[in-house]
Amino acid sequence: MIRETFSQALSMLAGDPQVWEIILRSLVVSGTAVLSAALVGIPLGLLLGLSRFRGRGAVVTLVNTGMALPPVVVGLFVYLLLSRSGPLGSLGLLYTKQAMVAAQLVMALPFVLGITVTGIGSVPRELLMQARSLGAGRLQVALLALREARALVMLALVAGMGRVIAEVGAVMMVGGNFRGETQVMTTAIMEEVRKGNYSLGLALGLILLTIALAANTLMMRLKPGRLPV
Amino acid sequence: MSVLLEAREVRRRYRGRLVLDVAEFRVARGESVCLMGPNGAGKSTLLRILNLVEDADAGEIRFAGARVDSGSRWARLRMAGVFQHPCLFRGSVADNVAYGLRMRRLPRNEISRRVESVLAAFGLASLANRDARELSGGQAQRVALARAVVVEPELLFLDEPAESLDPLASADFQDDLRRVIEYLNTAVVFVTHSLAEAAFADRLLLMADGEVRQSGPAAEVMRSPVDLFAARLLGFENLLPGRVSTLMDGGAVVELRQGPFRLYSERPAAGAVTACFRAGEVLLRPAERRGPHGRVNRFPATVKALEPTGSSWQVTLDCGFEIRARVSHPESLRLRLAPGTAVEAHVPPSAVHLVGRGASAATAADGSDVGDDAGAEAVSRA
Repeated sequence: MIRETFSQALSMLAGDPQVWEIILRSLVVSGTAVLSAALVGIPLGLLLGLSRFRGRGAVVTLVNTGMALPPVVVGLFVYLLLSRSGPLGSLGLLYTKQAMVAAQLVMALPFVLGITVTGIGSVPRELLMQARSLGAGRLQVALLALREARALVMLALVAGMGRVIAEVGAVMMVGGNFRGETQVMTTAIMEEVRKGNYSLGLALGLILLTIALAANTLMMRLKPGRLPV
Repeated sequence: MSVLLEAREVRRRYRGRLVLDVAEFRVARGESVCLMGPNGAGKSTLLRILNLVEDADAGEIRFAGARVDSGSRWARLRMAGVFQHPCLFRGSVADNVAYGLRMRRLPRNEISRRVESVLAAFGLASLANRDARELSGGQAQRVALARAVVVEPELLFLDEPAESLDPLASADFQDDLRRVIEYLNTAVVFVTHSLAEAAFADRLLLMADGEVRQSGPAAEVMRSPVDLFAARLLGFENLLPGRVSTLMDGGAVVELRQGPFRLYSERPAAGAVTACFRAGEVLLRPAERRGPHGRVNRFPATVKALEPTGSSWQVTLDCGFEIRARVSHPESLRLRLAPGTAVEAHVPPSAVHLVGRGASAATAADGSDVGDDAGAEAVSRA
């Protein structure tokens, strides 16, 4: 039976448009969330990594704690924000892809921010001082720090993507798993398995595994100070 | 020469401790100024503040007449610095050398021209496309120097740039440094522990505990330390306490504390003093050829110990008081020096510098306190 399911899954991957629609939606939702997290997290990470102020340690600890946020808690938080009685209820975003992006953004942001801070913090201060002594302004110093820490910053994005694309609780809660609308790979797997349709579940699972494998391979190659050629 | 950079009453605290307290510092256009001092003297802190990469807690810095601080990028664009470690950025050698030029928004063809020119001048042309982080220490520091020089700064800061290099690379780097200081029309402020490098400078500042303890033309400071700290820092290995008994012919006769010995100096002084002279200025001759006793600063001596110091020998001599001399290998063979050998030691009066004992509370180069008795023996410095 396993062999048969596996073969059906492979044939679905080869030609079932429904499977590819779900895969594409998952990549778009999670990709948008990670991109948004990068737009917010990288500049904030630069600021936090380069500045020294009282309470900085506490802020960094808080950010790192955010990496362990349970997806259902994030989902519940975003759900409460977007529900009709919530502060952003009037936007009517609940059970839309935007709501799913918002939930995944909250989950990805601590990863992007935390790892970026670590990366920027690992750039030797003397190197940045050297740039200043050669005439660099604040922006140029920040760009240099980003360039020097780019391996860890890319690692942050990969880790963020790996985290959000594989989670199910938050997107289920705020997206609702509507076929053709808000169904992504993880929620589709849950539904298909519940219905006994193991082939589709397995096909999507294979894709998720491939993505996880690719992300991990990339992360292994993105050790600090090293970039893929 | 007009003043390019001026600092007044500059203070810096670190974790509540005052680590820098400099009343006045000036660099004129085209002038080279050397900062010397033991570790922790505040040299690098002062350099970073003058280079406007850090701010002082108090005080005023003026560049080309205008008050500046770390936010004055216009002033930083007219300076450049090289630190103790090369601090090369990710990228090729040429990318690194071009960095300061890109910060100055020079046209691309001008950047290429200048980079090529400076790489050729520093013998780095063949390394232009090499990953900067794959270079040896000596090559990396040379790239760092080229990267600073290429922007043609009006003021160049060098913080012990040869410190982390092996002796061979350090010697090569010193040649580059000498060329930069001698041929570039740039004011240079550099930190070093090397007397040979300090000799390149127009002016020399000796620092300890965050303060400038002595400053002046390099040759003058090297000849005339104002206290025991300065004497030790400047390589005066022999420090003999005594008291001036007579002033004669513009000089002084010092009755040494140890035994009935007199030392003549061409410099006038009074009261309790420490006679300082360098081991390299003590002349040795065979005992059988020694002149009559009592002649000026000639002492019968016995070799107590011989230590190799690379290109020469350091000889510890017992003259009734102990002094150190330095002789070349051929000279040591000619004199057949060995422990127990009898020789005559001659200390030229012109080599003897007298430091007032009021200055004896100075902190020594190694950080220890030099009391009155500390000079009772010849002191060797690493």
